[in-house]
Amino acid sequence: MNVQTEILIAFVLYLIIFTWLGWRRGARAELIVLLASVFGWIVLQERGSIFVRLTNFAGKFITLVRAGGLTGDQDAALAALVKAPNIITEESTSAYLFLLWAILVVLAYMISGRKGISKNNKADGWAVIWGALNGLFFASVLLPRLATLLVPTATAVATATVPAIDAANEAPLRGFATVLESGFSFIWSNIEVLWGLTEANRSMAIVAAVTVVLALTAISLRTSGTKKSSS
Amino acid sequence: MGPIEYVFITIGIIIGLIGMARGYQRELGNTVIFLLMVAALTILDQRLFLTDELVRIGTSIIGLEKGAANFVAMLVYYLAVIVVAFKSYSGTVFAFEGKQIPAPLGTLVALGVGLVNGYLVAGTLWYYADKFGYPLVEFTSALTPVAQALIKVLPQTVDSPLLWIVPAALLMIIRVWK
Repeated sequence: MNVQTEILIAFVLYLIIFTWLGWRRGARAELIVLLASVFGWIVLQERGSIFVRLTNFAGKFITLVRAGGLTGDQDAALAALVKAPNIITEESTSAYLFLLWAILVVLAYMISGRKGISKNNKADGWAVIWGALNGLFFASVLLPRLATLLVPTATAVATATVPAIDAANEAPLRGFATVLESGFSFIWSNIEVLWGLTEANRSMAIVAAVTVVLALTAISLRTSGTKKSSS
Repeated sequence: MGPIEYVFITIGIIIGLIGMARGYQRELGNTVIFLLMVAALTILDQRLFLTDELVRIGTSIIGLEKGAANFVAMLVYYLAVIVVAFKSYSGTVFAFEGKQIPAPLGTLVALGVGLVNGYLVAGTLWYYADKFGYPLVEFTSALTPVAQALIKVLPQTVDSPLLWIVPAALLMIIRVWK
């Protein structure tokens, strides 16, 4: 047992939680969340400036109204408008867009859990897959931010240990691709380690693995369907 | 990877895809037959010395050169594998009762069982091609490290051929258990 084993257990446990959540909520609900979170992330990363400008415009409009721009002294209102700072500055843009994305995800979970959506919502293999993909996508987005909680004074260390995720000018889904690639290559490397352990009795291990897989497959037929009556 | 691995891995993948299309309810029946085929051929080869006998017949009785006799012996094994595979897929379908798990998990399981069948069939073909020195192709270069590693895990390389009877028997017991 070493650090690699702990990482593998943590990764598998994390996936189990989201696959179980997907199973409980159903395929349609999980797909809605996945599409909303992924497309929302892409839109906010690629065209986030639109939302920032709209918000600042709304802020300026409120300033104008409060200064009496619609009913009173136009000159004073315009002067107040010119002085009014942007609600969303350049420094706070990233945090604001992340907040919008978080609100979108919460709304997606709430709406997809409603009765109208959950009708005909099956708990099947697709629910498990969508749930797992949701978990992996959330990991790619949330992990860099959560890492700074654990290492609060070393943001550079956090970004160095989670390379190329959420860096400026990176493709919006690069982090997601990195998590998928890293996760599965990590699992593969652990499978190679297990394979190396069987070297002394490899043929027995192969026969045993084939026997277990085939037996479980045949048993699944017995438990999942009605038997035909023998003639 | 060199071309030899590609050939046999491709055969295995094609059989796997056929299994995915047919469903694992029917593929498990083929698996039983292929397991028994591997066990039977290995017993004939390693315990009853069929290979030595075939080569002896080729050289002493038919008068072939050693290389040609090896080629004929390999063809005998290949013919046995092809006939068994053909009859198991096209003959009376030895299917298991019950209902397959719905997609996507059922499809993945069917692909897995198909790949097991592909390992048994393609692995057997590769084993005998390697045993007789690849007589069908002009093979002058050494096997790649990948090929050398894969050859060590072919179905015929297990310690005892009787081991493959164990999963076959277990499947039959599950098949007939009431």
